[in-house]
Amino acid sequence: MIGEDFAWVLDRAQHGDESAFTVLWRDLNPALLRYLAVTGEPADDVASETWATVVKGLARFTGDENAWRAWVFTTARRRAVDAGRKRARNISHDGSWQPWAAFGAEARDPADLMVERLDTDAALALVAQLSPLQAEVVMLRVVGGLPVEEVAQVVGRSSGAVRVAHHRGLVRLRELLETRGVTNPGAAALYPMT
Amino acid sequence: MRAVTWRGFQGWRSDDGDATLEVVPGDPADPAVDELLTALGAEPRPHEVEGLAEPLAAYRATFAARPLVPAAARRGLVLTGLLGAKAAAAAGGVALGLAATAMAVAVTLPDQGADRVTTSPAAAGTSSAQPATEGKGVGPDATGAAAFGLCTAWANHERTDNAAAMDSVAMRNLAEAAGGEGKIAAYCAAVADPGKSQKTPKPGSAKPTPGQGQRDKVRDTGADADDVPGPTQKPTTKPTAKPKASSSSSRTTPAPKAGAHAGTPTSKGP
Repeated sequence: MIGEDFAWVLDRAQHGDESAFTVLWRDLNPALLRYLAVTGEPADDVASETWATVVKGLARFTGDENAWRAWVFTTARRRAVDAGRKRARNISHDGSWQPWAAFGAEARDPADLMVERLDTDAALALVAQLSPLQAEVVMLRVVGGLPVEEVAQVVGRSSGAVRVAHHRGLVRLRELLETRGVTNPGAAALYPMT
Repeated sequence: MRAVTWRGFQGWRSDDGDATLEVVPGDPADPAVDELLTALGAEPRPHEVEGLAEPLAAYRATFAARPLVPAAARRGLVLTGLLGAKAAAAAGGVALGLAATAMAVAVTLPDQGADRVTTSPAAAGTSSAQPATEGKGVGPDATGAAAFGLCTAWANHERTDNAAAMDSVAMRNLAEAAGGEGKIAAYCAAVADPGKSQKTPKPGSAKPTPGQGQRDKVRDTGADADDVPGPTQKPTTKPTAKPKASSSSSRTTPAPKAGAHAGTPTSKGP
């Protein structure tokens, strides 16, 4: 997050200041790539298209930093859906394409990626195993730093649905971690639902 | 239900778990989940901040080809746009920012101006003993008769987003005379049109004396000297500024932090 300087940086970026645009890009691109990583679409390509779209609309954008992030993520989501459609067409699927169907498609076994500490890729691989909505919500909340209302706007669901998906996503992540033996095995053994 | 049952185990098992639960009520907090979430939001990896070239090229192309619409008109148009009242508030903030913003922010690349930061407060302190006209060895004197013309030019550059022109020696002189890039608008507001009025021969009347302004600058830059790249003002005290010095005073270099808060009333959203 850029914080209290955001309005100034945005204003400069909207007036052709390349350094200010660079600040915006550096601040958000890592989160964008991570968000896209759990969608199953090629994160680099989609991020590229996302920024191309953002640049075109930048001069007309108004809003605070949350609105800015929500806008960029919304754009990324659309570009990812586009990429999913294109991919579905290219492989001449039976027609029942789902934009987020590639979630976890090529997910490596997170256990293979885990050493003593979870690294970012292993964490992303775990999140990619959640349902599409849960994965999106967790990523937008945790990595995107968006409040519930902005997340709801990005994914096109109600705030309540976002809260539930967030909670269930975290519960599911805990289950996944326990299955992998990452949490205290004693507590996992006591857990009645395992 | 699952989470509730499990929370009991957390409370029984670990003080850390309890503490986390209190901080984030409703979250199925767990040290392992916390670790995972931390890993998700970890510091950027190198490959995540590479690849700027393409978006930057797109940015250049877009903003170079942009029609020269006055900024105020553009902002007026977007008021009818996406975000309703939020947008209106934000646009108001932007307009305010145009008038009052002189803000320090790390927009420059890390290799730029680190040493300059440590030297500029001292340099500015030296110059406070001299009239603010020091440094006019190149370009017009922005504190004198040329001020009106410079302000006209500045307004034009601002309107047309002419970054190259903003980088000129004349514009830097103007910024220096105003006490910072972000104070130019206020400074120019006090500059009388010599064709209409001869009452104010020198345009500094609406602001404190030059010495006062210099002292303000010293304080501002000093406060931020630790982590902020070089301020816009010229750090040298001699008119024979080295090329290095002038290139470090590029337009994109942040100005001193004065007026920062006036420019960002909307940066903290609801």
